Amino acid sequence: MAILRLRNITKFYEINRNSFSLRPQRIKAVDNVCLTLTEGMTLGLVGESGCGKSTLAKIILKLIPPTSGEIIFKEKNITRLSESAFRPLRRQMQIVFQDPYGSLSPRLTVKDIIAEPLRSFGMPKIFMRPRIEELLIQVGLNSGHADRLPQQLSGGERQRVGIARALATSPRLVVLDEAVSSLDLSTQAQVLNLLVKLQQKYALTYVFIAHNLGVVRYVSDRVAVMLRGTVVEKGSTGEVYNNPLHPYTQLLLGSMPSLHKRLLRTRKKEAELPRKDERGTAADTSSACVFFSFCPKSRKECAEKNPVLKEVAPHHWVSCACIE
Amino acid sequence: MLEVKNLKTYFFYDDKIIPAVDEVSFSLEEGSILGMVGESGCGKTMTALSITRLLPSRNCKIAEGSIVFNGIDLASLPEDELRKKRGSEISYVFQEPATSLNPVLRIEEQMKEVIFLHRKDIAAAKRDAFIVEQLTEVGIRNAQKKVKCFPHQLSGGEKQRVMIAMAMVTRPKLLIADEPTTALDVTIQAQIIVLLQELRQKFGVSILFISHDINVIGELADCVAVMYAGQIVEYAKAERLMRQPQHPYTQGLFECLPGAWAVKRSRLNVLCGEVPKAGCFPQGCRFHPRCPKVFDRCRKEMPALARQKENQEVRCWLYSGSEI
Ligand SMILES: Nc1ncnc2c1ncn2[C@@H]1O[C@H](COP(=O)(O)OP(=O)(O)OP(=O)(O)O)[C@@H](O)[C@H]1O
Ligand SMILES: Nc1ncnc2c1ncn2[C@@H]1O[C@H](COP(=O)(O)OP(=O)(O)OP(=O)(O)O)[C@@H](O)[C@H]1O
Ligand SMILES: [Mg+2]
Ligand SMILES: [Mg+2]
Repeated sequence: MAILRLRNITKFYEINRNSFSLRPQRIKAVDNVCLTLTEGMTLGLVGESGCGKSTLAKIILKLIPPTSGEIIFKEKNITRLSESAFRPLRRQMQIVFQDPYGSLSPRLTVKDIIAEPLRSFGMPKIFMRPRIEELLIQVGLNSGHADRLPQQLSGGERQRVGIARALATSPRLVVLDEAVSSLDLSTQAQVLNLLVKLQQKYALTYVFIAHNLGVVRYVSDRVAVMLRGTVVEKGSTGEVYNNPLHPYTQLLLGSMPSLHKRLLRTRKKEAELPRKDERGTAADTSSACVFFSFCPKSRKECAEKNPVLKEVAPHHWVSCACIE
Repeated sequence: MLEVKNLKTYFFYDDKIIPAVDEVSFSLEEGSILGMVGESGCGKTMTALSITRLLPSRNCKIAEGSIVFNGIDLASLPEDELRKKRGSEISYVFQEPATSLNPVLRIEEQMKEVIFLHRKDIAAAKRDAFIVEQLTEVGIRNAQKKVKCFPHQLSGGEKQRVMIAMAMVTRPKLLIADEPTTALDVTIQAQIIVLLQELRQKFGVSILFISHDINVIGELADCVAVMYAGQIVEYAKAERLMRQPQHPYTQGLFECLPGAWAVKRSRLNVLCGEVPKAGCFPQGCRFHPRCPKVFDRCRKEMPALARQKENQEVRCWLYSGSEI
């Protein structure tokens, strides 16, 4: 069952809006994205840095409004819901932010950080203490951590506090924006084990954003690949990883760093990497395929028309003009 | 080029001394890249900070050891001379881009300042174009627009790349990069890898590269140092270390990664226990409480780094009979 649907979401940011000397400009961060999240499943979101993943995450949680498009949560259109009408739903969705250093307030103790969402949903004080302890234990910490400040915790512990805070209101949907990226291997494995365990226990739905493709494959049921604000390929994890069809997905999977590459000296710089952005600022307005200028397979028609996502196999969607 | 000998960096408190870095020695030749890995809190950042003496607080001092950089001992250099070196000959990419960019200055203004101070060869009129070129070089698309942004308007990966660009414009001889690629997608990671390799070939830059991503390290670094509890526990050529890690810690760490073979949703390996806090290291080998191969001697005496075949150095009693 679909828990959340995004329909044609587009987001523009404006910069220099309050500047006297500079011309206001618009940056297109997300462009016409449609995605469906199935209850109890993990959607992995990968793609170019700066392609709009965090923006999409914030839109899902209604932390920022989309410029256009609709967000449907449990069959209910929440796009234009007022903050007060949205409140009861808010506790069902939570986010763990990209930055473990910046996202926890440095002056609050662990206890207070976790209590924050509970308090804002009006949990009576007497239930608070046991709930916090329960949450700490769930994420593999203990009540000894409750009175510490964030800087007295290691990176992994901090990230787990972030997860405990996100789980505090028993959400149905959790967005994990690079939640494990800055962790060392052992801690990363611990947090991944925890996430998988919690999902199995509570049938949570995750949106898992990360750059480490091995990790994404490990946790995700479905994967969506983003480039310049659009989804260029999506499908079940096995399909996308074993049979990538979009040239960008192929490039991405082929770029995974490894010792092997160096030994074979296969890292070729020109062929592999879009060094210069020839299109410059035209990128936001041009009608060409988003991957046009770097695509090894690009044809004339790619310059004229941006392809749409097509279902090429069951549960496998690609937007590329070269694929029938 | 850079020779660190017996470096000890301690936090001095009234009642106790916390050894964050303990007896660390390594050397870095011109144009070579040293990778540094290890769990969170094992002293990687502190080692890097010690080299430039950018230590976090007053009570943190280099207690012993020498850091000879091109014939000059940085550990005893007066502060003002060291400051000159820091800007021009030594560049540092900090672990937390969010905290090391100035939040109230546009990217353009921050870069101009660096160029003004350290690149007198670039005429004022050419600075704008130069900045855009440098940002494009590290893979930031739409650089003309992005230079007008404030740091909070950039995505995580864009911030990280601005930091890298700023560190490179000064054409340093030594580049210290602390987790510079965690927020980047693999194609841009690859681009940075190529860029760094180019830098060392063209300008003979030496690089100390700290990362949790052993795949990036494996591809980029010539040699790798594995740190644990403030010490180097293993040191070898990258190929050798990745293929045949000898120290039980290195072996355990590498096993935490969900590899291509990881059955989806199976439990990942984790190292049991946690990194001991600096200041409460166990007696004997510091890894012994977590070591699967521990025996009697490990609990009593601390092993030294001993040279094995192929210049691999290991700090472990298992190999004490076989050094050469
Ligand atoms: N507040 C803002 N104002 C203006 N532009 C913004 C703002 N936030 C993000 N952007 C721009 O929107 C684009 C998408 O940013 P977003 O943070 O969603 O990327 P991302 O996919 O999460 O990237 P990363 O992997 O590097 O974190 C970027 O080009 C970024 O510069
Ligand atoms: N102000 C401080 N007072 C006391 N101990 C400190 C202080 N700052 C850091 N430490 C200790 O110094 C040790 C080394 O920390 P360091 O930041 O070098 O770790 P790291 O290897 O860079 O970890 P990470 O991978 O998380 O960045 C840690 O055990 C930490 O607890
Ligand atoms: Mg992001
Ligand atoms: Mg560090």
